[in-house]
Amino acid sequence: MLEKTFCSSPWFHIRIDTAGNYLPCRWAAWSEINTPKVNTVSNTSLLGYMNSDVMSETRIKMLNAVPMKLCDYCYNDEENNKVSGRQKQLLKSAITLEKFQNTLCASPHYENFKYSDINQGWTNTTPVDLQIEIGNTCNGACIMCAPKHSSRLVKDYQKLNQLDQTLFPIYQVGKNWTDDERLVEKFVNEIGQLDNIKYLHFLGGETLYIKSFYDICNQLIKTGQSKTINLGTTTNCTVANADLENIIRNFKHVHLGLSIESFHGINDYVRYPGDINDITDNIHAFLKLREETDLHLTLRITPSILTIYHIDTVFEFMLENKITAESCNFLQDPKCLRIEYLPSNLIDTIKSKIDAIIDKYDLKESNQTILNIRRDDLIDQVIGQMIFEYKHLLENLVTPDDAELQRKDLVKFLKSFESIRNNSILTYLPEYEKFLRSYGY
Amino acid sequence: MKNFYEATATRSELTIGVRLILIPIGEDIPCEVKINDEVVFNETLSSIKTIAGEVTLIDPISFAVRIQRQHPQAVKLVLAIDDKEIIPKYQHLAQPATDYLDSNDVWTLDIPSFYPWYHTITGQGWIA
Repeated sequence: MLEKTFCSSPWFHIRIDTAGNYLPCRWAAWSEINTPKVNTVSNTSLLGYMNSDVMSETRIKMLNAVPMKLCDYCYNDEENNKVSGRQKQLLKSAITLEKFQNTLCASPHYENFKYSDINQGWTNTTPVDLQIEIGNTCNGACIMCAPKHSSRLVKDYQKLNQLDQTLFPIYQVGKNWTDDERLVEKFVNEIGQLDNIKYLHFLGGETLYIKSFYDICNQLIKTGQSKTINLGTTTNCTVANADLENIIRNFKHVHLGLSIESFHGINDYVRYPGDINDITDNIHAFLKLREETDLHLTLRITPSILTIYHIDTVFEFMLENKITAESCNFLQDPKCLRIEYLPSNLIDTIKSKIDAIIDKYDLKESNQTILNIRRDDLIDQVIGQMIFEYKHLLENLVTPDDAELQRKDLVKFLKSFESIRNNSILTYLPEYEKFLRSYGY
Repeated sequence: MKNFYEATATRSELTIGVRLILIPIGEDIPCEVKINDEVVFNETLSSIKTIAGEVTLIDPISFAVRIQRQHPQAVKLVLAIDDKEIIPKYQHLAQPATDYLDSNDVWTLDIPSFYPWYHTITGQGWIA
């Protein structure tokens, strides 16, 4: 069935990974990402990639309802009643699953789909929405992150690998394409030739710590193109500077995702070497800037076994500051940090804390699914929806069969990091002492 | 739909339902309703009247309602298209911007193509 698989993204979106490879989708499944790529920033233009074999073939499959490995994450999200990337991209073509046939046939992109259907997948569209991964340079070394996303972790993993090769495998981390200034210049020039670019989403590393982010944005400000472009990125909230403020004031609209797991000291342990006081100050500075500019802020949370305990602090901050959070994805990797390995007594405590928030703010559950969770007029509903999602996810957690093994791995994992950082989880989470001690901490 | 080709085959035949409810405030109010310039109702309104019909999916839709009232008569409008509430929720997009007709002017609502228009008025975000 077409409505189960069709996505309009290949008609307007391109992703560029850290190495400079083109990919058809920002939500592409890992199996697809790890496939060798032919088209790169250095050998193919953005327009050239739109009509590359990969993209044409992807569009043909979309039009003929052929399921693709590329789309596994979205299929999985939809099976679990979560809003998928596909639904978000379809919305950019004014297509909804609720009225799929009618909205597809009435879509402003209908004629573009038809063109591809009769022209072997070729398109007459130009890129509108780009995800640009500018490298792994990062000032942070979050314990749940990986060296391919953090240059600081590359060094840490060299030491950690000597302690445990299974928990801390050595990755081959390639060069960042943005290290080549000529490529960055070529890329900016190409964007300058595209008159319909509406959205640029940057990913790091820590984007705000990477020179090429400012180079690209400042060049777009210089040419005036920034006035018609929506800009998005995610930050660990350790950087707030005048250059960023200038970018926020000069782009049409800026969406800043604020990565944080908790408004509690545990954030410092997990998002090492962050300081929750500095981070909170920066978030408040962003909130102040939101009042003066067209800046949209959301928290980006990826709760793990360590940070879920104080998730109530995040919910309270959201409610007090009218700020939503995106992604209800619990951490999956490293496996030992998954929430489902938490003992039931600690889960019960967390559920009680969430219930207390629900009572305190008199939150009511709605059965309406909100697709565009960035709508300013729906902030209260979006926050409420997320809190109830977490409540239900925790209520339905099932302890996996390998819990004993993973809990022992968790202790090994934490002790390894602590051996090179000279800190202790119990300083931040004394409530976990009995649990961790029972597995060898 | 098994594939996109099926959509191309049926697109021009697709229709969406329109339901316009006229609620008289007072008795015996002459009322004329046009949908896409075609008169679909032209009678004296004494009780609630529901006008239901179909329009093509992709074409523009226009509504025009004219009443001949005497003080304090009025007609209240409720409009749904493809089961989506349009009036009174989006009455600010009508001319005049109301769901309550208490003058003898023509009330109009012009919709270019329903679903892209609905996407915009409901604030679903930018279209690529």
